[in-house]
Amino acid sequence: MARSGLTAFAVALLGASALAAPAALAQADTTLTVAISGDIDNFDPATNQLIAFQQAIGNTVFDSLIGYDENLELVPRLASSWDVNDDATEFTLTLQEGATFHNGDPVTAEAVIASLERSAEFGGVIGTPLQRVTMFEAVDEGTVRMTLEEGYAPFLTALTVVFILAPDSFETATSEPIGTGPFRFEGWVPNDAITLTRNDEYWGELPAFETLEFRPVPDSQVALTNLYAGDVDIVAEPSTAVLNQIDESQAQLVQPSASNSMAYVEMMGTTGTLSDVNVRRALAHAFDRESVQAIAYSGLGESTPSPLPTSSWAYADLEGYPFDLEAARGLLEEAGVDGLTVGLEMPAGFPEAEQMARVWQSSLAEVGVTLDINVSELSVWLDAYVSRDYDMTWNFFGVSPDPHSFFDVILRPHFEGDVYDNPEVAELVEAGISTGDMAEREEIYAELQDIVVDELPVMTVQSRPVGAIAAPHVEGFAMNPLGWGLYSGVTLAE
Amino acid sequence: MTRLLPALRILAIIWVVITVVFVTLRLTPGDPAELLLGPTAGRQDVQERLADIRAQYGLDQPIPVQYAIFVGNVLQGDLGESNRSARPVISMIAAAAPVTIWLIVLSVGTAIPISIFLGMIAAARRGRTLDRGIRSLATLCMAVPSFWLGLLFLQWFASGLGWFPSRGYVAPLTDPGGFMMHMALPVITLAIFLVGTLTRFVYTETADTLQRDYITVSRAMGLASRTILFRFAAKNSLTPLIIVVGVEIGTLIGGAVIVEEVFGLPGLGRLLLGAVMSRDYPVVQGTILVITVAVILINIAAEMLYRYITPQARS
Repeated sequence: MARSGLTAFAVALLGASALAAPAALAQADTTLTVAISGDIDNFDPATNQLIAFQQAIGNTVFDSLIGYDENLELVPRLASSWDVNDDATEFTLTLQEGATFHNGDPVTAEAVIASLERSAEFGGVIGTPLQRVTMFEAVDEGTVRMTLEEGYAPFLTALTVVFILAPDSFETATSEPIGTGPFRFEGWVPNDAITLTRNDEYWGELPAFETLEFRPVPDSQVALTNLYAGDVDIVAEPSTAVLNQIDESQAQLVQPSASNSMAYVEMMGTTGTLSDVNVRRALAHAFDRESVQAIAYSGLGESTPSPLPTSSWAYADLEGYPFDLEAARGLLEEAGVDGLTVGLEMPAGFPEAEQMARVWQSSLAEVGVTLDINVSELSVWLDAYVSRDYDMTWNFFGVSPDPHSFFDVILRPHFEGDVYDNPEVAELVEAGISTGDMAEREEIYAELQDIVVDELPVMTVQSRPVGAIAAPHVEGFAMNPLGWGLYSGVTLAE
Repeated sequence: MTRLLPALRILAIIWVVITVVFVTLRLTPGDPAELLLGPTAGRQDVQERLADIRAQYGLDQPIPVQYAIFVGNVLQGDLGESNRSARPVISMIAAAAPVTIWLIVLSVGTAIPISIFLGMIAAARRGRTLDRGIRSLATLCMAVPSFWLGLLFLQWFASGLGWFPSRGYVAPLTDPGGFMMHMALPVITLAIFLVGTLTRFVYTETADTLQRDYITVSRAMGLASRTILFRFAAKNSLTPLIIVVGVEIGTLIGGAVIVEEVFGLPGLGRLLLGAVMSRDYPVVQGTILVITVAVILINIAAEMLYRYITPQARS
């Protein structure tokens, strides 16, 4: 007994494990190695709702019914076409012909419905829109119809993050997901590698390389060195600071056509000093957009007061709050506030946010406001954010092509959780989704942006310059404005 | 009875460590369930899912109940499953441990001969330039932050000269050559820190021994100073090194966390760091338990070896 234990230990030390072998073999083939900033430990697309998962695994191992192209236009994915009625209550999708899951099972309407129903059951930000579906219907083998009780205009964009999982792997998806995407899930060695191999049976265009490998490298500087050394082909999510210091003879910067990643400062609107809207406006007047952009973002990105990215069809060009310390002083005086101290929370790991805060801190000091900057570890920040335990908090969000995403994900918790009191906003947010009429929606979102900028439950910092770093031999790599790397189209030059 | 006492003391240490870890984890802000859902965990329509996750991992139980379950499972040899990947903690540790063991064994193996050589030379040349140079070097080795040094090595030897791979781990049986190449930079980084500590120790011990009467007598007998240094003084001044290396193991595991992070080695350090960041309680608890047991065993082994070598310590 003791001897077999010792033998097992010796075997483990020498690494004669089954896992090590295929990884070593795969090295000989064409492999695209991507450094990601954190490990991924759960591969079930219904329960892992983190953006990092959607970018790396959702989009490669799986197909959503509808996808994005590199300009965030909706394009066919597992559904080759779709049809929506005028009320946005009935969505009929035709599935790709001949598509199969990685285990060989055909993609049928029943299988797709089972997967959608499972996502709805798990809820969360991905499943909740599906809970609006009152009836899932397999019209025939290759057609799925979803009926909603009330109109829900953003439904198609909501489908872009609902990834279709094979019913056979419902129980095992955490560690062995089976999808329909261009890559099969091969294996995961914690803190080392997530290995995917090309799905040669893919219904769509086949990737030009055989293996896609994600390697977690938390430090962007280390990841860039790995790329220079030739051990990594793409650094997927480098920090803004590292993005600006690449050596162009050794690497290329890949950026999307626009950035939908927006940085915000969310404010506590119902308790404490900030419940006075004039105090919030005073803080905004002391926010020097020009300096913040120059210092924190190296002059990149777009600095606009609207919470929506300029590329959005609903974007409204608003004046906002020009940098004006006199106006800030006047508003503070009007509010009867003197010697104010305001806390600003932010998670560690975002140096550009800290720089933004320093710039703001120095102008606020000139109007007698002390800005207390608290940088905490991500989980500590998250806890304070979720329980709304802050004066102000920095945050960022990738606004999907439907403007509803900002009002739903970022603003909704404000009026639902008593952080911001304006019943009109809740009504407008509902109105914005219950009609499919674009002109009407545009009007509603213009009004919503106006209110948000005027009352400042959330102050927009600016858009974040997203980008990736690729080695010179990587060709055809693109990113969409949400910052998702589109790996399938990459070719590796000799 | 007296033979049982050390065993009881060891169990008490382990119990204190796992209890402190258990309590500290739960007192630290940060909620594992919220981390699984990200910033949307505050939405009203997500609360049900949040409650489901808490129930799934037993986080909805009162802390004393969670503690009782945890200790009960540990006593049965069950370290539980990861809150994130649902993998058994014991198999995650088994996969990560070889990397860290190799890193530490090779670092210690590299550092000991270098430290002995440098420490004894410095002691023999006490007060001269060589002595001062070596001792300054030792202090420098201790003072240089491993993270910075690791990055520097990456830039010079992996990225610049391309001599070594810049990241990752290859098991020795899969590819012995690749194993050595992948381990070279991490081992040197960790060994440099250890050389600093050990050289200073060897120096002090040897310098002390060289003052003893029997050395003076040997000198008077006209024995070559090299013989005195390496045959007589070494025996007395090097045996305590065994104990020091045992004590340093704990520090080395701390250093391994940083080195593994820089060089992308999937060892215990990264496992622990990642688990702390994601508040994966079972993985943190299990990893610390295993490390504690390992450190205790290594220290016991070091002490036994020391007693075996030095007869006067046996009584």
